[in-house]
Amino acid sequence: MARMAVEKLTAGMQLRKAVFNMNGVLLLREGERLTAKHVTVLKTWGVHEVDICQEEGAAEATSTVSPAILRQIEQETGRRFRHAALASTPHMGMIARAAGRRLAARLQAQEPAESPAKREAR
Amino acid sequence: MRLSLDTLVRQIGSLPTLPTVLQRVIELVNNPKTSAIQLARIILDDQALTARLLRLVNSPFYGFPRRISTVTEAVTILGFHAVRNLLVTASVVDLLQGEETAEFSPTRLWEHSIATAVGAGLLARFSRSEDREEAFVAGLLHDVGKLVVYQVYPAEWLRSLSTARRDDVPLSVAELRVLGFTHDQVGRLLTEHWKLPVRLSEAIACHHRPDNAQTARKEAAVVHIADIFSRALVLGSGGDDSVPPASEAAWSRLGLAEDVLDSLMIEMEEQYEQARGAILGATQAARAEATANAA
Repeated sequence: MARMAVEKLTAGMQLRKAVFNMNGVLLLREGERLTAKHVTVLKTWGVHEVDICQEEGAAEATSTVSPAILRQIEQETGRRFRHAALASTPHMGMIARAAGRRLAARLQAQEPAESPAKREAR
Repeated sequence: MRLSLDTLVRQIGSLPTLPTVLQRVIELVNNPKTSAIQLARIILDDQALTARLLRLVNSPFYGFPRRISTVTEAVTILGFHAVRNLLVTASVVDLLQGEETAEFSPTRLWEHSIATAVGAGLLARFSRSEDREEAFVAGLLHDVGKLVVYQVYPAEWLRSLSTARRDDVPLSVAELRVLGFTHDQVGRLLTEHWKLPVRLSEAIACHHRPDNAQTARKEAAVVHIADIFSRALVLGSGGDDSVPPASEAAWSRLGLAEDVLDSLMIEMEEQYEQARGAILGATQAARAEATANAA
């Protein structure tokens, strides 16, 4: 599964899930190959992200997280969990690790150029 | 003037009020003698509220298996409590707004609240709670106190945020220093003023200290952990960016363990996007259309 920001979509990508507007009206069907016009439609309706089928090569490329992203996530986690007594509370460690895996997946799959700190600052 | 919760209580008239129709709906839902026809008739009197209810109920996020096309259907199929919760969800975001500034963004706070709502609904399901919709609304409203303070005492609210940042202390510590009270206390005040159910009010009041809850301990635990997940996943912003420590008792009460966290968080991210579209989407689409028309 790959969620992708609408800004990063390019023609030829295939939708893994149908896209609806906020009134529940179908905008694009599951399996549709995107054209430039489709991307304009999604932006007009204020859709932020869609599910895209991962091509096999792309799936392999994103299955391992780069060391740079891992370092970034570690720093972010240390900063964000600074009031959370990570060392002395095992359940906070579990939350931090699970959230870190999600942030890494997001950074790797959909937001290679945007860190969680930048996302926060928006 | 030195602020205190008492000064805010004395200004109860300045707290945001729910639309009259919604106040009437809450009264009717609280009254066991109310009939479905009475409730539907009151909602139908307000065309805008009727349209919002039907749009929300038919959005992909709620995903009811069949289309619900009338208010009477909504009341009979979903029940009184669900309809009240949907109406609160559909109304509250517009009601509690404020100026977007570099220091504080009400929209980002609503995004954080929607993520917490979705997380609370999922945690309620995970811990086999009876009322997932109530958990959703408690999550959605858990930080309303912040928006009330921003509306009534904007300068003091921004000073609380800057104090938390400057001194690197949790927001509640900064609130006590600057305001003399905390947003969870204001949340209780507002939801009691709105005559929402006591358990909902208590879950909101105790979302930072769920072990203090008297009657709604599980509901408070659900909102407490959902708030922490939402912060850990960086979905929206509660005004400050730190993740507070989770109560160990709340964690155990919900039966959480490391092996379920990944799937819970993935589902939370997916539902968050849908819920944000359903709840905030109308405003965003209106803006997008205005931009497209201007171009």
